[in-house]
Amino acid sequence: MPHAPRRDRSEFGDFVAARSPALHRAAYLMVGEVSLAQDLVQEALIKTYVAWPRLRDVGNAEAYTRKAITTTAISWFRRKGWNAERSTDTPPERIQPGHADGVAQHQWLWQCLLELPVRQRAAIVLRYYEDLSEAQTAEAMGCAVGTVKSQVSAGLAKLRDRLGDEPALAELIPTLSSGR
Amino acid sequence: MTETLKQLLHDQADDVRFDAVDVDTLVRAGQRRVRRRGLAVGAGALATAAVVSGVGLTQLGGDGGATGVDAADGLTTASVSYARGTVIHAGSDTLEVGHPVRAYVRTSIGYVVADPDGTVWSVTSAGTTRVGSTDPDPDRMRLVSDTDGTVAGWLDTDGHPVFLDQASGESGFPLGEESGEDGAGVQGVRELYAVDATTAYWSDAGGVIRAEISTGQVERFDGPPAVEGTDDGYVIDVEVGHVAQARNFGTEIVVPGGDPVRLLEGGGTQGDLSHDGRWLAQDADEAMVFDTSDGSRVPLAGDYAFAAAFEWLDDSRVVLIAQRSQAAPVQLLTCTVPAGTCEVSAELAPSFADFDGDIALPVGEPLED
Repeated sequence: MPHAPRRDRSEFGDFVAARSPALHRAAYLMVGEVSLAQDLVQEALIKTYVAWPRLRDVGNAEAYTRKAITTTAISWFRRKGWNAERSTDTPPERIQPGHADGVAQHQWLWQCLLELPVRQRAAIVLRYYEDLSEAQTAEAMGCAVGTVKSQVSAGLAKLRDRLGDEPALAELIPTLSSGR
Repeated sequence: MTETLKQLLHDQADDVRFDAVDVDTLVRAGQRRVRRRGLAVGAGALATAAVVSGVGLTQLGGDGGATGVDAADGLTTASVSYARGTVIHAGSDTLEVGHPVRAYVRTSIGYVVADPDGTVWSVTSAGTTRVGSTDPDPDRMRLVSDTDGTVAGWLDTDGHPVFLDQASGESGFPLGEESGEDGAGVQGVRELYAVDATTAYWSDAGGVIRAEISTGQVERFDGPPAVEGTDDGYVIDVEVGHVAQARNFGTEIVVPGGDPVRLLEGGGTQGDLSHDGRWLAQDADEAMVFDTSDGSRVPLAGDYAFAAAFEWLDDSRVVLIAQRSQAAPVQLLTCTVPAGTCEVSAELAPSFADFDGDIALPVGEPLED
């Protein structure tokens, strides 16, 4: 009789302790709310625990959890009808001329990011926060590399469009480079 | 300007603080999904549910009264059972509970049911009686019982342990808000583990507590302390003094008057001891039944693609939910240990697909989150 897969609770606990802070931060950037990010990470870690016996090493576990966070976030946003324009009625207040301190700039850019469709935001977070390659981002999102390119390109274009009136901020947005 | 979008993202994320993750909660939720994973295996909608052929619906009494049930008049519960909707299917009987069964356990004379709102009901031959409330959160809803005794327990909405003796109809717990010896008490209960006759086991921040339900006497359990976020000290089940504990290194059986026995395989915090404590069925993707006298594994249901053992009917008969292949019917098997023979006791559905969260097994927890 083959041995049943083993869920080593101690190993899983070590993985959670080591990686959950980083996973929370990435989830927060995708969904923009602390409580929702915590729910998202919890859901992803439960899925990871179920899949633990076939993940074999921590590197696989992290990739699996990251994918679970990304696809679950996209699923939740679709299911709950949340989309890009969660604040369509009240677009972020533009920074007034001359009001160019860093804090305000960050906040405004953050609001613009949150207005992106979730897939575009997820792609940008994975590429520019997690520093994943296009292929790795595609794996995490469960889509083709070409889709990652288009989602990132569209997301950055929207950001530049929104920030067009603020050249200093627009400079923060990278031009799309070829994937690694 | 050298700042990049990447730096902005890091700045934004670094400013946020998150609550610590409770590994115990993750593991419990994960193990429930392992158990029900078969329910998600396969494709296609559930056509019709082929339930156990019944000999008629037993309409139990209403919600009134119904205390003081005589054990001699109790239901015969030592049979394979499951619940769908408001009905418990038990052997050849079908019992209309009158309330959706989210989770349930059985004793030797009845069932204790939690509905989706967290209301707890006692189901005996005298009828269905409301006996309390528990947390409706599927991740925290948990009933425990001794299947060859008459006591069941749960945590009330304040997190205090409550026990019901279905033989007497009495419920509650004699110990008040004060603590017993070594600070052991009913405050800050983390997890209600098990009931063995009239002895209950739960944990608080200080470790595992053993309590005599009839007197309210509590004491620290003389075993490894339960360490949050680890396996150490987590009580899986207790029968006739045999304590099955999850440990960091695996599963250990503490035997009265003997040396602890380590299982040679297995792990996790879910499982069920046979009534005599001789065998332990552990929750896994395939049948995992162990001889607690030497830790060896008993070959069982090896020809099934999925088989999870979840309760004992007596000293030697264990019940499994199983599927021979992904296209095969979902069955409840009754297997005899150590012979290893199995027979189909019930067919739950033509295939694993979608039970819409309305099916429950007598494990005390919801199968669906």
